[in-house]
Amino acid sequence: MTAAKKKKKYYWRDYLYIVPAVVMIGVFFISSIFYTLHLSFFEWDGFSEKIFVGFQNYINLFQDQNFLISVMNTLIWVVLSMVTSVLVPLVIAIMITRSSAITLFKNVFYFPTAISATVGGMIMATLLSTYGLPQIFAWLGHPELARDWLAIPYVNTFIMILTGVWQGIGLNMLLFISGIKNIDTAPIEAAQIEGASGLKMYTKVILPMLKPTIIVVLLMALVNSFKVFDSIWVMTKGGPYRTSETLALTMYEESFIYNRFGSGAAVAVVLTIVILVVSYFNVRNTFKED
Amino acid sequence: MKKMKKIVSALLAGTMAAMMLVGCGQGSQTAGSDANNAAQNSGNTEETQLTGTIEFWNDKLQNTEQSEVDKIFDSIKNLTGITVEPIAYPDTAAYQTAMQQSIREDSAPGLFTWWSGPQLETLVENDLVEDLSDLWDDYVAANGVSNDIKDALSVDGKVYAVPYSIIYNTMIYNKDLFSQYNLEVPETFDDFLNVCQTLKDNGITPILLKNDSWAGFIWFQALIASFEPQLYQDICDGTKDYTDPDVVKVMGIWQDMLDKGYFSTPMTIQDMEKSLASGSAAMMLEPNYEAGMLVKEYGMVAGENLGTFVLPSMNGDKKIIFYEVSPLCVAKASSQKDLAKEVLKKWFTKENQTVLTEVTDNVNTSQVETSNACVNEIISYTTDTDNYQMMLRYYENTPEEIRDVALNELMKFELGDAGADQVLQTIQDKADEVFGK
Repeated sequence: MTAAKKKKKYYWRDYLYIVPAVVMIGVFFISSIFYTLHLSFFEWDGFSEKIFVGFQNYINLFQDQNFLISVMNTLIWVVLSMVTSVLVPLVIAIMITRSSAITLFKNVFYFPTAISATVGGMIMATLLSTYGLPQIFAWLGHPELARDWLAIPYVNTFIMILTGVWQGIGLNMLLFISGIKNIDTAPIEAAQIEGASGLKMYTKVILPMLKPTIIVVLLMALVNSFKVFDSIWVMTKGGPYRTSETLALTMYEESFIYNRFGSGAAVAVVLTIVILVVSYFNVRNTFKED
Repeated sequence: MKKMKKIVSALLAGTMAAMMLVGCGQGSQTAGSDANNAAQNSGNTEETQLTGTIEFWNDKLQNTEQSEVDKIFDSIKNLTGITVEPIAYPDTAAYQTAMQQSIREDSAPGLFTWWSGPQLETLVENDLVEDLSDLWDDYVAANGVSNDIKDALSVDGKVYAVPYSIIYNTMIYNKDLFSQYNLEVPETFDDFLNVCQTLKDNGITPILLKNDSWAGFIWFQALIASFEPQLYQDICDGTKDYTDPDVVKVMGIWQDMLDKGYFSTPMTIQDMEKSLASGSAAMMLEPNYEAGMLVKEYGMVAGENLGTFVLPSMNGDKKIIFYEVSPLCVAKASSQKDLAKEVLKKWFTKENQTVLTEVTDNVNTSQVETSNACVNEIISYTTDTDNYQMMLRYYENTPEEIRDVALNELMKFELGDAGADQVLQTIQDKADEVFGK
């Protein structure tokens, strides 16, 4: 057997090793994508015959007030999550690295991250119900606040974002602490000699050097906020009157609550396209700078 | 190399064929055994007791302890000789998806629970459930199930399900508060408003509201039917518009009650129970099982400090009790359907329903009594046809496209985020589309 033939044989055999993964992804992932795309052009309740409606599901979506509210809520989640997921853990990380009880604080802030989003949501739903925190405000002379805060339209979205931030602080904080500790000290010392200190030291020296960590945290916040579902489902189920839905929730509700599988599939396609586009630009910019 | 390719191709083809055979083999084995089972069953005479096993899919028993669930199906086995295996799905969406995937196969469950109204109609339109009309008179109504329920389980005059559970919605109230402020159970709607005003004047929240996203219709249907039962039925079936002057008038009454502070802000059902039990609120319009929860979880005593009544009519009509019913269906394609029908023949016997009521707190037949005086009181209303009338609740009584819009709009109204005119017009726009006006 010649060397070329031997090489070709091993090359062919290498592909065999990835066949199981390719088959699994093909069967369970790629085929689902095509099926969802196919379904988005039909009207189907799960039992009756599918009726081809072309782009009607997409047209209906963009004329549906609930979908537009859902898009707006998703954008609010994305923007606020990206800002708060960087700012809050970064400030805490800076403060903790200067503290003598760094291990204690790390554990305290990491604890909410150890709880699943569903359990975290249930804890918050109980805390914010009529007989939870709102009752304390009633005792303090504000009876108008003694109501279920998660039942207040639009306000509940911001409360749920805060819950997400509370649960996300721990991981991002650890990433920032790790980033801060791995910064090369030479530029900092040089800056100190040049007279930089306090806020200037952070904005001009430390934060630029933390950029890789910040990008990772931003990307994680971006993806997580687009796909957020579990905590909203547990806390409000998208209500009242569908005012706290995000696209992931709308997709689920349309498909499995209202049995409008075509419409749900259309939401899934729109959500996928949006995430693909946003992720593409983010990833491209990240690698370009690297 | 060519030889190697051939060997690999042959191996792959062989494996695929084997897998297909295994798959088909499994299917045919199941189908075969079920078919034999069915054949044996069909060959039996009526005197011979049928035996076999059927599955009972549901999303109702997932929170019930296995030992309790076993009681129900031990009971039915003793009565029929047929083993019923319950398969309880923990999530409604997962359950519906499983049914969608299975209902056309012969491996579909013999028995399964479903939802009345449009969802049952969908199954019937697609010829997926058995016609159970033959069972109704002899085995269902004869055992004390109200004939008023029949319509909710029928499509085009044929009965396609029997009730797994019937739930009645009435006012549940804190009797201690009524005694404290010398209040009587209201006989007229004006009496009811006076009760609300007295409670309000004394710092008690008269009526509790639920914050579930679907709950906006509860007081809408209650007030419309209190105004005129036929008006309720007419707007449900499209005979009258949501913008009808009478509907507008009722919305005005509801708005007035909201403005006077007769309703709480919407809250979780747990907070509603807590409020009623602690005496910070007096009444709620909820299903009969809530009376059970208040007794079991909050120590209230049914009949002593916990009572029930039905919202009075505004115009002297019969008082309306809204009910919801969970249909129990037989899958048409199922190889277990004959056994399933045999099970249904004994399902409503007093022995079996007594066990079912003990386990689930649902009362489906007039032959069964519970230990909860409030629930017994509610059941007594349903049999007093001179003074009370039962109507299917709005959720199942109107086309789902309209219902989905109405639930959101009515919750908006309840929260004060939209006026009556806007809400009614939005619902009517959808009704026009659906009813083709």
